[in-house]
Amino acid sequence: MTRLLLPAKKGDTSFTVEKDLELYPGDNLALLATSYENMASDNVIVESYDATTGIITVDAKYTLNFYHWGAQQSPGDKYGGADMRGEVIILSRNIKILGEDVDSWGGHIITSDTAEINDDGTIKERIGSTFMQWVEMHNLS
Amino acid sequence: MNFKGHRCIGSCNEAIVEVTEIAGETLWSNPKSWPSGKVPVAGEDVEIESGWNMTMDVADTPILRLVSVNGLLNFKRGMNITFRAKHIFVRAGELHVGSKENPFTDNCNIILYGDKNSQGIVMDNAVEAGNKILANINVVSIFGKARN
Repeated sequence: MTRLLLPAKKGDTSFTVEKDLELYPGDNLALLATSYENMASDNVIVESYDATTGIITVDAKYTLNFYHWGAQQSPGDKYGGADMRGEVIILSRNIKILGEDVDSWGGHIITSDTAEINDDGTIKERIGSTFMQWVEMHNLS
Repeated sequence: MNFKGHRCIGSCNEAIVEVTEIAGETLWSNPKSWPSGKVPVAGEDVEIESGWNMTMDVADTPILRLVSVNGLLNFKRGMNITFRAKHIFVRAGELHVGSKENPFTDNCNIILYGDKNSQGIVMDNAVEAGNKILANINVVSIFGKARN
């Protein structure tokens, strides 16, 4: 997560965040709301990021729909420690698990336990464990 | 207790003989790795058999029907991989993409196919798991690159 270092206005196609981040063209970013309107967030795709200036330019299709406040320094001392600057988070991951987009019917992941009953009547119990980190999922539950 | 009288919905799972020893790494792309002598094609049912140590090294697979994982299935590092299947059933085996200590850093897509009326898979006897599914009753471990 990074923060806006300058305010970003509605209609903008670029905004400024911290320098020297690992950001790549095509990354999907979310700009969270900074107003009282909690749904005033934006979703953009990175076209370029300049690591020396911290300026992100986004795909022209993704102009900002809302104003997001930003500043060089956290105003935390005025707000009881809370950093009020707009948060910018990376939604992209290099590993994706996707459900094919058809009939509004998504994919599934289940982790379960089961008891398999063999033909000789013995029971084999199996217990599933799933370990995942930094994985993106779409159309899937 | 013996439930021999059950009626299967869809296919019933065969009993498997679990083997612990791993007979060396085999590559998915190598026809010799498969009992059929050929690399799985679209619509095929594929089993990673118990005792196998299979490495997925195909950049883009056809859409397989059911991939049963009863051995080890590891994704090869250093290449981008798109793995397509209607169902993936990790039963007695393990599916690994990267590890906690050493995450997978290339691009990997696992895409599940099917529609609402597609036939589902059966986890055991009459317990139906559903369709378009990654069903896990053993170990699935997927670790991607940290993005902060």
